[in-house]
Amino acid sequence: MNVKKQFKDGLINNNPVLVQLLGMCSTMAITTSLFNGLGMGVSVLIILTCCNIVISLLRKIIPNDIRIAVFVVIIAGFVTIVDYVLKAYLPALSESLGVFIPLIVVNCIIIGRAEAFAAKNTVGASALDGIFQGLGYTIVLVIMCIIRELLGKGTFGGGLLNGGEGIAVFGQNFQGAMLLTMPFGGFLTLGCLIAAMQFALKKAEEKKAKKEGDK
Amino acid sequence: MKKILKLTLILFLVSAVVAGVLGGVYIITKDPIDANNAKVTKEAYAAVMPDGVEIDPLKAVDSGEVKTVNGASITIVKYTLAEDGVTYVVEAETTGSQGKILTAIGVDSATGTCTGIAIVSSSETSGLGAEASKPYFKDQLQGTDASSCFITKEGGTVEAISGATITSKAVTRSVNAAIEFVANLG
Amino acid sequence: MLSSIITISLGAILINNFIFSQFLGCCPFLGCSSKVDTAIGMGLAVTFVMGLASAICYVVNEYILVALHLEFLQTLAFILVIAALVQFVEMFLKKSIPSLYSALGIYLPLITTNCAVLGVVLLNVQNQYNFLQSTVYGITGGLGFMLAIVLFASVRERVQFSEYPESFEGFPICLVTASLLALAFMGFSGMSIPV
Repeated sequence: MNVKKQFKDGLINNNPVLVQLLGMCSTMAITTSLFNGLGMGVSVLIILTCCNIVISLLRKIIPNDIRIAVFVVIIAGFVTIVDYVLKAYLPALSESLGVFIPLIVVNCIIIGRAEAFAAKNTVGASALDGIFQGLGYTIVLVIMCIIRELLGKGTFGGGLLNGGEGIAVFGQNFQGAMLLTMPFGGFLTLGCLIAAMQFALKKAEEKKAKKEGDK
Repeated sequence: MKKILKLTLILFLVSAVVAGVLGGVYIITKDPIDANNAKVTKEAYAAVMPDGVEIDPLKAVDSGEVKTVNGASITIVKYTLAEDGVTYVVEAETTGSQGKILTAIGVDSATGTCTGIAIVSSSETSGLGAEASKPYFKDQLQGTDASSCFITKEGGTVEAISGATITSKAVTRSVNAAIEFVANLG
Repeated sequence: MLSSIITISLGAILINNFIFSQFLGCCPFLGCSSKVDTAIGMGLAVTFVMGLASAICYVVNEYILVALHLEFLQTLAFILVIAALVQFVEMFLKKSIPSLYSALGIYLPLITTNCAVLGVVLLNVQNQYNFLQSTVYGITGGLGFMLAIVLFASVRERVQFSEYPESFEGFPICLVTASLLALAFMGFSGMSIPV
């Protein structure tokens, strides 16, 4: 079992957002406060893991011709469950994520992992894949949230800490660059993050090549 | 043909199982969701009342009357009279920048002024339109009457939220509609 | 009635553009925008499906789900309707308008997982639009998507020839370009039309 490789893949080498470029819509849309980012990330993690397990269990029964349709039905089922559970027990999160919770159905990460991994691998590996890919997604969301919130509003932990107001890092009178909390900031922050990721991956590769060259 | 039937059957079975599970989840979560909504409404009603005045949201009466303020149409959804016999709470719905905004508005029928507002539901942008529920904006509306409850650009006394003029207009106009509605009640 | 239609249209195309202000449909927006031609094809296909999906899902929601108190099946029913619709459109085009099919062919299956389509249907329910309003919102939302993707593709064709840091190669530079376009579209957000 190569748990370690799967872990590294999900978080870094094959990160769903930064490397596979899946699930961009929600990544840019809801990352305006830490609360939203964490809530969305954990929701996707749970749905992704459940879907991966069920689809992996059923992978031998589902006929190939209608597999996408069956996947979509299963995903829609889990998404609706999470939607209702959030509405019932975490109404604040449900209110602030709004239409993006039901839209997890068409989040390419879930259908992508179902098709690329769960439909071909064992239940255990698929469950781990779900957890690690979900974690990779959550981490990117959290990073996006922290950057946009800090520069846009000058706060940290909005919706979670300090009674929902967030901690004012630069003092109360700080006027943030509001632009960053708007759509403009979403595109720009994600663009810069992916660029940073490409830079880091390339550097790592060069280092590795150099090491091998030295030998 | 046989293959198509088989595929249809499998898809149908999967959908049926999923639908069944969802039905179960719906039944389990229905009560907490209803309780949440009732709590939100109750808190909103209490927040717009002057201190010490009791109000029962369950007594609210449906209205559906449509008012026009500065060209925007506002629907009066429900209204009810508080126990002091003077203050009304009016739920008004209008369109903001991202979708519908439902506001609970307290109106003193004796003086024709607003006693407070609370946003019951909205899909305004976080950090912009959603600021309407923050004290710095909504406290400005307290004590305003039909002539002053406009944003400064429209000749009133309310400072609009920066970057969210449309939301500010929608909320102030809703208050106006509510005041007018209460005045017409007699 | 007419004024509400105009408000919805202007809102969907400019003020609340699906991509630049609501982030719906970003995947095909970034994936299918390397050439203006393909962007137009994708835009047309999406507009068509969004309009049809809005109309059909309105009927499904109003006369089946709400009538039978099955609102909790909304997401499931909508995505199935959309998937079936896309499949149907694909078969129909293949048989009757082969030229259009060969132009749109490869994009059609992608539309099922385009969140703009499911998004518009869910927003129709949330905003309590009636049949006409839903359909108009669907079509104009699609037109807004098309406007965004065509504009973006034409900018992107030029970006290819300019110099930028190596790390920004590929997606990042596209996202930065998109952010500047989003900034331009923010100019429309000051527009307000009395409803």
